Amino acid sequence: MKVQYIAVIFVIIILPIAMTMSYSIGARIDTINLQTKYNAKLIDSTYDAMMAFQINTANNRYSSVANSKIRDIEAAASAFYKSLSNNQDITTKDLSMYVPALVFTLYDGYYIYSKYDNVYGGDDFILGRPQIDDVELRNSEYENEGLKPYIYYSCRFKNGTKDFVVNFTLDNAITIYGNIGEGYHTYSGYLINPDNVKIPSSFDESKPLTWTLEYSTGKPGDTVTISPELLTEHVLFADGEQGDYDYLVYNGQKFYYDKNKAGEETETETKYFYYNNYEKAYITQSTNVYKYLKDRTSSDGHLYSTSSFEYYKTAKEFSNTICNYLYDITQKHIVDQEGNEVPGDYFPVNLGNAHIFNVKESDNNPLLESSAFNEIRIQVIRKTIETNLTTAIAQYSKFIGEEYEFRLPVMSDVDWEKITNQVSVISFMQGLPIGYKYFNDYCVITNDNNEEVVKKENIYIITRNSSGQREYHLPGCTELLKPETGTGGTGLDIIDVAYNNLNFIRQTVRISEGNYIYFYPQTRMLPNETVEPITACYHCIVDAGSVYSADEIIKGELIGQKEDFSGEEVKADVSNSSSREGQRLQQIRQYYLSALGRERYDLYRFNIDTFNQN
Amino acid sequence: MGDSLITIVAIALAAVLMFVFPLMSLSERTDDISELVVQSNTDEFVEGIRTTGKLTLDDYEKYLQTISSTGNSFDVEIVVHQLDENPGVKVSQAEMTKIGENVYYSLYTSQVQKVLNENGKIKLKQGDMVSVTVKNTNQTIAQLLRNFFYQISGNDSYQIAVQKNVIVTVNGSN
Repeated sequence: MKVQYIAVIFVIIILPIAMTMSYSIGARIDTINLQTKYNAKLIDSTYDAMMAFQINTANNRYSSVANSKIRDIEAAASAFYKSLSNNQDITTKDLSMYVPALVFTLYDGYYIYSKYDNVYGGDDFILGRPQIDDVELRNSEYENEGLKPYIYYSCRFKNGTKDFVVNFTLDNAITIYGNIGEGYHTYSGYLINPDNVKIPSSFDESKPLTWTLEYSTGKPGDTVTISPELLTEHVLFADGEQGDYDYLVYNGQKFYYDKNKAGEETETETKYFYYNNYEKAYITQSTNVYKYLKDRTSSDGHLYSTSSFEYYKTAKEFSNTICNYLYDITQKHIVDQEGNEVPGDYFPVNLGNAHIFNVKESDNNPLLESSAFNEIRIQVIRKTIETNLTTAIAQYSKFIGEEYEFRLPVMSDVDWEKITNQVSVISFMQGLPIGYKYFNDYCVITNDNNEEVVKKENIYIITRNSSGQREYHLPGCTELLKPETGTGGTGLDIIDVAYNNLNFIRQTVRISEGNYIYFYPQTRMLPNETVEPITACYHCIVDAGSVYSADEIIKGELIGQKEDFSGEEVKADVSNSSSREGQRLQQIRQYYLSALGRERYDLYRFNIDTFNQN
Repeated sequence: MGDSLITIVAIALAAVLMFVFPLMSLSERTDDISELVVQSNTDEFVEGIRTTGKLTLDDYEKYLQTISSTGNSFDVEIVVHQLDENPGVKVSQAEMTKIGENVYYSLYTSQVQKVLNENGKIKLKQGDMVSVTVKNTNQTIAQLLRNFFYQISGNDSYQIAVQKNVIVTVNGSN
């Protein structure tokens, strides 16, 4: 055979191979590109959902009330679906088929947004299946989509006669119900080491303005005095009026003191108001809150908040009770819902004989990440979400059909760490055909600018420099710790006060549709009626650079790298009270711990508030 | 005589057809796959920064290692834009989304590397932007072969190039 023929045969053989290979790789590239696209889309949409939630809660002064919270979350879910189908050829409805569940993890529990049926299972109830079959269900009006009932981060413990359930939260608050030693009781509160809080014998319940207490972990020089605080906020109203008002929070609602209001207080109109529909709503003397506010107004015309004091005091009482009854509870006392013992690998960690609720032990300070309490808290949250989500996602096939098997993907530890520490939205997208395979991914977006939880990192400290400029910092800001630097001038930056991060977010006043005005609560009015801005620190907030962790501030000891990066050294220690760094750190701790207590106490807590009133 | 000339032409043609053409085609595919690997790794790396709010030295080095396992050398440019809302705050009744009031400060590759080497991580906040651009710096086989037939020169003739820009969605924690 001639060479030419061989060449032709070669071409005939090779050409199809090269073509199919090129096509196959091209298709795979398309698949990956689609995957990348949907991945980004999923993250974007989840972020939009989170932002919708943030904007709604930060601007909604009633967002803590359960009904309004549901409304905010439904709005967030709708934002998610809208954003997902934005710029797509597929409709929202078709795309939403591939989203088996959305999870909103909140302060003390979570909502799952998914499909559900309202069908009573009858005889088959144990199997959890409705009596109508799946095809019938899909075509029936029983199929609903929405929020499933709220689920708490709860765990049951059993030790002898003690049998109780603990609801954990994203911070150190817990609710306990059941028999913890003497009959059925419900307790709710913040867990701290009760021995750290010392209330002086001169405590007089009837004079809130004199309330003080000391908080100390026993480390020399770390005693912090908690006393009534003067809190001020800049408020803008719909009619354009603006001003600075002293305020305090009572039952989750902010009350302001209008000291410049003309005239004497009358039965029906007082000098205290709350912000309602962007207007002042003055309270009457007959309301319960009036006495509360009056008791906290000083003779020189200022309203003081005692929330911080009340936080530490109630936390001390609560923690004492818990420690007395539950000092010996360890991980092996955890049981399942039916009260049966759980296998050893129920949780991925084993804490052995560490006493979970004995917070008097020095290595079990619930405020710190490393405590046994915190470890169990994380494991409980993870377990409860995992269990319920697995069911919710597996059930989803019932509504969609059997083409794709919906399953909870394995979520990474990094993601669990995010979920267990912050308010988050978890979204899942599964079964979407993308060329060679099905898309299957999930996304976790967290948020710390909301009214759900005050994390340790959420407290900002305000300073005022010698030229009067106000600036806010993270508590661990390296610049804040330098005693003698300031941006505007020389000399000491005076620490003014500390608030949570929501106070630094722009607030919106809606005058009419499309007509909005904005204000920042921590700006101040100057005597010449102009508004003085407050700016973020360039070293810790704008740059978000290296800051000390909140845990180090709580401990009162900062550890940082040496100048030449050859190792680590103690940068500041409160027990070294002769050093300027130590003094400054102690000063920061004073404001920080006081603000942390106050902001946590001021958040609306349904459980704690309800049970404390009983 | 005529026959042997055709034979020589045929051999030359066969050589091109049997070696160069498949080799070119294969090497192009290899580059496609390399690009795919680089792209998916870049996505993973950048989305990681986006959802955790921090860029760590560990992640950065792991990323560099993974992309260099494709057998090519890369020029990786990272630019971090840090949002500064302060100018917007100073304007009374500010519009946060309006362009011109907020300012972004940029950190470029060498600055990012310096901070990473010193602190081991860069913390970012909600609203910051990260952009990563990857280009190959070596000549891949496909490029070599292509240059053999037709010359493409200039700075922008990359075989493997990936770019990814994101906005950070969360405030980084410690």
